[in-house]
Amino acid sequence: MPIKLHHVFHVYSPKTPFQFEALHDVSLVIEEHSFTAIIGHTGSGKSTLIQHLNALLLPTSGSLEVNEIVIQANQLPKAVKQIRQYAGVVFQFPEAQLFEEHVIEDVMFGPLNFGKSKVEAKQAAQLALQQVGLDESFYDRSPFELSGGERRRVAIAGILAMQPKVLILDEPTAGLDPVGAAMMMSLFTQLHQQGMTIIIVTHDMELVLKYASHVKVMEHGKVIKQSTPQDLFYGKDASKDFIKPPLVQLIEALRKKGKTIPSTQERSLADLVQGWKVS
Amino acid sequence: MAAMTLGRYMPYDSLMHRLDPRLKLFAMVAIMVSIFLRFGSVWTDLALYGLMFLFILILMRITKIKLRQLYRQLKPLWFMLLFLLFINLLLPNTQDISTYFDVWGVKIYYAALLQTFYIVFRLVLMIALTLIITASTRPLDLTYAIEWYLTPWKIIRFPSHEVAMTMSIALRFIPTLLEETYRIMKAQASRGVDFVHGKLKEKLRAIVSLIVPLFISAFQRSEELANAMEARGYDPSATRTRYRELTWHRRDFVALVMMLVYLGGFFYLLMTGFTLPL
Repeated sequence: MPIKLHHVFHVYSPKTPFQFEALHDVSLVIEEHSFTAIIGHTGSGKSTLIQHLNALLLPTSGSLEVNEIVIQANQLPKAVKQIRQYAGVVFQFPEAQLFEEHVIEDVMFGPLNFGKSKVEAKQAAQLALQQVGLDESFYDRSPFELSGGERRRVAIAGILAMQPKVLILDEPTAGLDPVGAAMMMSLFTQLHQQGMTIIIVTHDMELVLKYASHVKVMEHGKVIKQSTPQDLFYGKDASKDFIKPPLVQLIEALRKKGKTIPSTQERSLADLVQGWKVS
Repeated sequence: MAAMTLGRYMPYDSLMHRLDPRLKLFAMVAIMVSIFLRFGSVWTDLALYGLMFLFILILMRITKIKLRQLYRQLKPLWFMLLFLLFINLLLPNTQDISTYFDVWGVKIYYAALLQTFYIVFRLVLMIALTLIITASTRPLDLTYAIEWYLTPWKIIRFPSHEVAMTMSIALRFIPTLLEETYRIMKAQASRGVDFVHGKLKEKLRAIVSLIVPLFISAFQRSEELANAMEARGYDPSATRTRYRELTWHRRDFVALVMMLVYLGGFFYLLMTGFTLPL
């Protein structure tokens, strides 16, 4: 089922001096099995938006629909646990949520909360840890003795073990080294190919171009553009409001120099080289 | 998040906001002292308490704090107030046991009821006062004021600057830690934790899943801060100047005189054993 938002508004601390409208009339649809990127400047409402998708925040007015469950304004739905299991949110710097003594227990924490038996939870945890590339030697280690990148993978495994249908990620590559970031992204592509809906909040345009199938652009709490990466960076929706990915800049510079690059679908440097070889 | 407003600075521009924090601190102590005075008779007490209440209401008005905000602060205290009432009724700490009425064979003393009322009333006024001072004074200004009051103790080698520094760091990190708390609560809620419902055992686990990460991040933060301060050559005993100096204005002087009259007035009534002719 697609996730649908109907005229969602969200106001923080209403009726106090700290009142702040973070979402203004947001209506959008996130297709099932899509790889949707949400981009926008800091403070544009991206994080607020994704917290609505699993009912951590409730709309001040408007409504949304997740897995056929309707979330009304200011009303915590009865099926909130179902929603939270359906749409797993990985927050920014998720390694801060680790608390158990052993890695395996921490990953089992989610499934156990959703009513799985110990055996089932352990199986789910083992699968999730395998997916993020951590082998059995990690199971009985303390999460606090791992490196930053490993801790983050444990935290993401903690969400994957809940077996969500939608994975929502708030800047999952922030603070990771390039190799770690690339591994992270290839994990998400893999999950996407297995049929999971991926929603990713990011500032990295290169990632958007390379991986996303849909892009939502936010500005001051509003969704100002819904497009695809190709249209957004090469085509009809191109705009000067944000810095284009280096690849797009390169292609534009080459074109200016008189080189002909027929396609406008390049997602990565490899695509560009490939296209060149063919022509 | 809306409930956490006690101790939060409210960025209005009011006369109270512009007063010197040193004066405000003095005034707070003075009014608190007056709240705990007991006068000649019950009716005198009640009348003078009414007067204090009125005074604090006016101060709230000046600070642009609405009664609703005070009420919101008191709401979580309901249980405690009930408990107070209960304890006071069962274990009356009073000599006056001549008047009482029976409820199912339990003697309820009027004096005990009155005692409870006094406690509750004082609590409410204290909370109102705290609300006024924290809403109208930036935490940093408050620590400057405290440091100023501590300065004389330097003579006996009391580390007043260090104490003030520690306090201002602690104050500075309250909102940060609160934010962190909400962040971790949300992250754990995403993993199916229910902080409100559930059995006691589940709730305990929920709390553990919040407290452990919170402690870890607090220790990390303090270490980072200590390193950052050292990296910039912080020396606790160095003499330093300030970006913002506290300056004493005429309005502060006027307010100080008013406070002295207020305090003096109540002490005069106390000394002369004033009672209302009732």
